[in-house]
Amino acid sequence: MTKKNEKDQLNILLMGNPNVGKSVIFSKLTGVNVEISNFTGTTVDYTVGNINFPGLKGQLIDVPGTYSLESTSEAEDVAVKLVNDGADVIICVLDATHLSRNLDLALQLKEFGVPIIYCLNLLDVAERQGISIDVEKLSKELGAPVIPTVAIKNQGLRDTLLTTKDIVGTKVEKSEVLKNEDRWSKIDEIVAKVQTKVEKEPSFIEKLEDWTVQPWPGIPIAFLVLVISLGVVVGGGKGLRAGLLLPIVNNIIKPFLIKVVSMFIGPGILRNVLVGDFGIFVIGIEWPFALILPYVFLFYIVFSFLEDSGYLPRLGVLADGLLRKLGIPGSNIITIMMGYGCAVPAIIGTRAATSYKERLMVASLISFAVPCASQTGAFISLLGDRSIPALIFIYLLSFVIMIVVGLLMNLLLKGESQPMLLEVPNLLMPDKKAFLTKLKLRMKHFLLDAEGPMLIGIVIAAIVAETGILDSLSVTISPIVVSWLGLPKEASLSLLLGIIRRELAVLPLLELNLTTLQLIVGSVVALFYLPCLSVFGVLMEEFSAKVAVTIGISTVFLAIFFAGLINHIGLLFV
Amino acid sequence: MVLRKGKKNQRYEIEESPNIHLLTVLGIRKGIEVIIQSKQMFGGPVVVRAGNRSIAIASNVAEEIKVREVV
Ligand SMILES: Nc1nc2c(ncn2[C@@H]2O[C@H](COP(=O)(O)OP(=O)(O)OP(=O)(O)O)[C@@H](O)[C@H]2O)c(=O)[nH]1
Ligand SMILES: [Mg+2]
Repeated sequence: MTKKNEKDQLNILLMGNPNVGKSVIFSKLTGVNVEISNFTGTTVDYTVGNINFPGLKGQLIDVPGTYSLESTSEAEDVAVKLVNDGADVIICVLDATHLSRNLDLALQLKEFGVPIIYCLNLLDVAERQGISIDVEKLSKELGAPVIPTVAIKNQGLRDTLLTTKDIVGTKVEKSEVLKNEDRWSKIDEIVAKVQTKVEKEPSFIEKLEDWTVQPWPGIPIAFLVLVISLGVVVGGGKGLRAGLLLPIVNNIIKPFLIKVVSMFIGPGILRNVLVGDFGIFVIGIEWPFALILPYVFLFYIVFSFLEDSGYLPRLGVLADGLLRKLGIPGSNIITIMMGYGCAVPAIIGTRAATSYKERLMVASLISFAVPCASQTGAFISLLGDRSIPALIFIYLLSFVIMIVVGLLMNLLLKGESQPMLLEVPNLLMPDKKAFLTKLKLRMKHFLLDAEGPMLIGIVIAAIVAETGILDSLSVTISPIVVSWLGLPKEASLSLLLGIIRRELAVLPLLELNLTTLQLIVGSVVALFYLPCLSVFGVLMEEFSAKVAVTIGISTVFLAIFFAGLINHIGLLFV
Repeated sequence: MVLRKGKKNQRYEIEESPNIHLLTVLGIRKGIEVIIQSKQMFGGPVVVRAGNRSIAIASNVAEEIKVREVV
């Protein structure tokens, strides 16, 4: 163990069971934003931040949540390694609503001989559930300070820092290593001494907690939740687009840009390229801000709310039986839903999967058939006003393909997933401030990640269209585009731009005056076509170049094959 | 009898439980009392309440947990 001298930075570990509020405390103490959500395994790797408090300067490490220190999972390995690397203080966060389970780790941590301070967190929820804990007695039993906290409301965090300051450098004995059975009976004794629970009439939230894990009324509730979510994103998005964003873009921003550009550049090709009907500035503002942003924004509002409420793991429990038939444990439904926002964080989120096969399958399903929020926005712009049945058809088709791809991969790949063993979290009303921070972070991400490539795509489109490169490209791939897919040759622009971002495979079709069948065919190509460049990058990083290329090639093949098939079948009926 | 065959809302004492680490740390071990909160369709997990928490247990694991009815 390395001991740090006075001048060195203090090394403080923030530890505890999964889902007890460690990351909330970490963000509040260090000002570093980290992922926070109401289910276990949100933090898969550790994050380091700085604490700067009078008399207490050092680094704080947000350790992944673990139930014990026995090194049986990746998160536990990380935790054990961090403790063994030497810490000056451990801040151990306890969930007041599940004290007995939390004490397991709390006692194990005392075996290291490092000064410990306990935060008894989630006291507001404990109170709601009629649980009260005698903090002083608990502190005596644990032989260490216990600070009552409600992390999301900032309660007790100052005390935590003050007390941490006091115990730095104090000598603590390593407590004797207990056998599991002995530790468990000790825990039962402690809980009996410090905790009292009054049986209350179950509150509405508690009834809801029960209903949402029952097939009845849980499954109808799940449908209701999904329908409402869809309504908010699709309906709300249309409203925002038509009522607010399009007017702003069309009546204020565009005329302004046209005026400014016209002041400097006389009429001619250059002015057209910049601010003509399909000019870079015009499209570059209208597409991302008016057509895409409303859907992305509303998706993240809905998804972040569900994430923080603790509802999603319940959906996982309800869906487990069915999803397992595809070889995917139910908890992956959270990752797949995330994919409807953006595939990049979803693919990173597959780290929580319990086997390589499971991970690869979920990532592939997301790359193949889950349209992201940007693409959904584009589909709605393209099909929403022309043919609602076509829009529904596209989404149904994506489900069918997901099932087929899932079944095939399940047959072809080897590997077993872990059986579901999951603690269902409490339902919580999301905290307003934490919610807004998360939303802001996600929107910033979208704007930074999407707007750049989008503009590049639009510039390429303008250049390619103006310089005649498009014509020669169109000739080369026209057998595919014109004969097989039945689209006008200008649609090859979609195939080109779709490589950059998913919605760019859809949006160029807006300008082409297509028949309904052509719209469907174009949408099907876009749906299954290459996930965007960033997805390709993240697949390389998280898996391997081989996986990324395989997924890339198969998606292009599937997209063109399938869309052509629909074209030829469709032609029989038209 | 095994947990998977248990009835909803019935209380059971666990007599024997497979040695799965996550299961023990979640508090599902010999001598503990649980109530079956729900059972899922299509061979989905059994959800039990143990003390103050709900835990979903895959049906094949629930098949290996031996329990005794408690009245
Ligand atoms: N009501 C209430 N909610 C809290 C409190 N502290 C944290 N939460 C919520 O509890 C959930 C879990 O918080 P996280 O900080 O992500 O938990 P974690 O311990 O980092 O979890 P892992 O990273 O999975 O180990 C979030 O939804 C928080 O908003 C609290 O004191 N009161
Ligand atoms: Mg965390």
